[in-house]
Amino acid sequence: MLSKVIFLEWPLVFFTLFVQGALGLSLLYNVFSCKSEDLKSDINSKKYVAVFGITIFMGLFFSVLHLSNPINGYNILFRILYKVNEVNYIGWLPLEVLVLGFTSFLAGFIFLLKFKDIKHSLAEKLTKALPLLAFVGIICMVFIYSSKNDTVLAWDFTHTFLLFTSTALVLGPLCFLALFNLEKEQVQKTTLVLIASYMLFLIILMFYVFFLANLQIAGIERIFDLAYGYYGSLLLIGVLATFISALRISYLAFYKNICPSRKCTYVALGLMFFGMICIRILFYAINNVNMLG
Amino acid sequence: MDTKNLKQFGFFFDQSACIGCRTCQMSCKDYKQGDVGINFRRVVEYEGGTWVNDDGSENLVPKGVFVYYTSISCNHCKDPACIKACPTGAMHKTKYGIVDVNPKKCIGCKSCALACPYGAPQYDSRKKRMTKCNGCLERIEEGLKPICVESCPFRALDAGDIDELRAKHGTIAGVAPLPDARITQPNIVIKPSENSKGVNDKSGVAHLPNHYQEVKKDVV
Repeated sequence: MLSKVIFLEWPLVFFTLFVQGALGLSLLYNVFSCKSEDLKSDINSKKYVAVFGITIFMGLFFSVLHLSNPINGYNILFRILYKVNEVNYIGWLPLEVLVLGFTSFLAGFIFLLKFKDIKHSLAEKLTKALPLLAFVGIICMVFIYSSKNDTVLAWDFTHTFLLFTSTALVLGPLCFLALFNLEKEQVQKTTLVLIASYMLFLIILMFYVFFLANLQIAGIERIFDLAYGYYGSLLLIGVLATFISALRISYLAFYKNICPSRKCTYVALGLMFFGMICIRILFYAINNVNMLG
Repeated sequence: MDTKNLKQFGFFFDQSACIGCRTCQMSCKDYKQGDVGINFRRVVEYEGGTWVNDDGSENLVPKGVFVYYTSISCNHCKDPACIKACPTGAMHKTKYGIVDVNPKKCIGCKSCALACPYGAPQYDSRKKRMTKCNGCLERIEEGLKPICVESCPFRALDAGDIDELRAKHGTIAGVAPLPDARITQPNIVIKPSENSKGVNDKSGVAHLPNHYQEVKKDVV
C-alpha cells in the first residue's frame, strides 16, 4: 500500500517540484543580481540560465513520463481554447505545457546568445522574463488542479496556489546557495529569505492540513484515510527533513557565522527536496475520485 | 431498444431492487473483456449505523443501521466533466449523446479520471489509454439493451432515452455516496431504496470491493 501512495503520481511530483525550484531560483537570482556585479558576470548568468532551462526541461521530461501515449501529445496544441455545451474553456494543461516548453526553449536561446556573445542587451532583457514565464506556468499548474475541485475537494485554488508558490520560495534559496559562490553577506541574506519562506511554508501547510481535516466527503470518514494510513508518517518525515535542512543552513550562516560548504549545501538541498517529495506525494494521494472508480 | 427516439442515452437504476450481486459488473467485464482493475460498471456498497448497548445488559440494539447498493457506470452526462478536463479532445460526445474516448487522440494523462466524480473513465495499462463505458453502442445499434441491463437478475437496471426514463421513473439522479447531480447533470434516474441517503450524507461509509477477497461478507 505504501508503494501505491509513493508511486501514484511520481512523475508529477518531480515535475511540479522541478518547475517550482526553477521559479524560486530565478526569483532569487534576479533580486540578488541587481546589486551584485559578480552574479551579473558572464559565467554566473550563463550558469543561471543553463540550470534554469535544464531544470524546466527536466520537469517537462518527467511530466511526459506521466503520459502513457505521448505520441498523441500534439493534439494538445488544438485544445488551448475550446467550447463544451456552448461555454468557453481554457485548456490549462495544454497552456502549461506550452508556456513551460517555451520557457525552456527561451532559456536555451538566451544561453546560445550569451555563449556566442551576441545581442547582449536582448539576452539580458529576455533573462528578466524567465521568472515571469515560470510563474505563469505555475499559475496554469494551479488551475489544472483547482479546475478539478468539484471532484477532488482537496485541490482548491487558494491552498494549491499558496502551497506551490511557497514551495518555490523555499527551494529557491537553497538552489541559489548550491549554484553560486556567494559572499558571506549574500549567504546570510539568502538564508534569511530561506527562513522566512520556510516559516511561511509551514504556516500554509498547517492551514492546508486543517482545511483537509474539515473536508467532508460522502462515504469517507476522514480524507487522510485515502493515503492508506500513511498521511501522518509521510507528513512528519517531510516536515522533519525540510526542517533539518533549513535549520542546518541557518545554524551555519548565523550561529557559526560561516558560509556553508558546497557539500553541506548540496546535502541540505537534497534533504529539502526529499522532504518536499514526501509532502507533495500526499497532495496526490488524497484525491478522492477513486472511491467510485 | 428503439433507436428512433433515442436522443440522449441514459440509465435507470432501481436501488430498491438491487441486492448488490454484481452480476451487472461481471457481465460488463466479461463482454468488454476488461482487464484486472478495470470495471466500467461498479457496485458500491454504502453502509452505516452502529450496534449499541443501551441498558447495560448483553443485548446489542441496532441504531440507525443501514446498507444499500448502487450500481454505477458512466452516466453520459449533459455537462461532462471528463470532456472539459481532456487536454486533447479525445473524450467526446458521440451518437445518442454517449460519451466515448477517441483512442487516436488520448494521451493517457488520466485528467478525465480525476475530473469525473463517478470514476467512469478507467485507465487501461495494456492499451495505454483511457477506456470507459460506451453504453454498448454496438448493441444499441442492433436494437439491444446494454449487457449490464440484460444481465441484471432483479431487473434493477434499464437504459434508453433519458427523457422517456425520467417521464417514467422521476428525476432523482443522486443518492449517497454519489456526488451532487448538479455538478455534471448525469443522464441517470435512480429509484432510491427505503434506506437511501441524500447526496451529502456523511453517516455511512462506501465500499467498492473489486476483488472477491475484498468482499468480507456474503452480499446475497
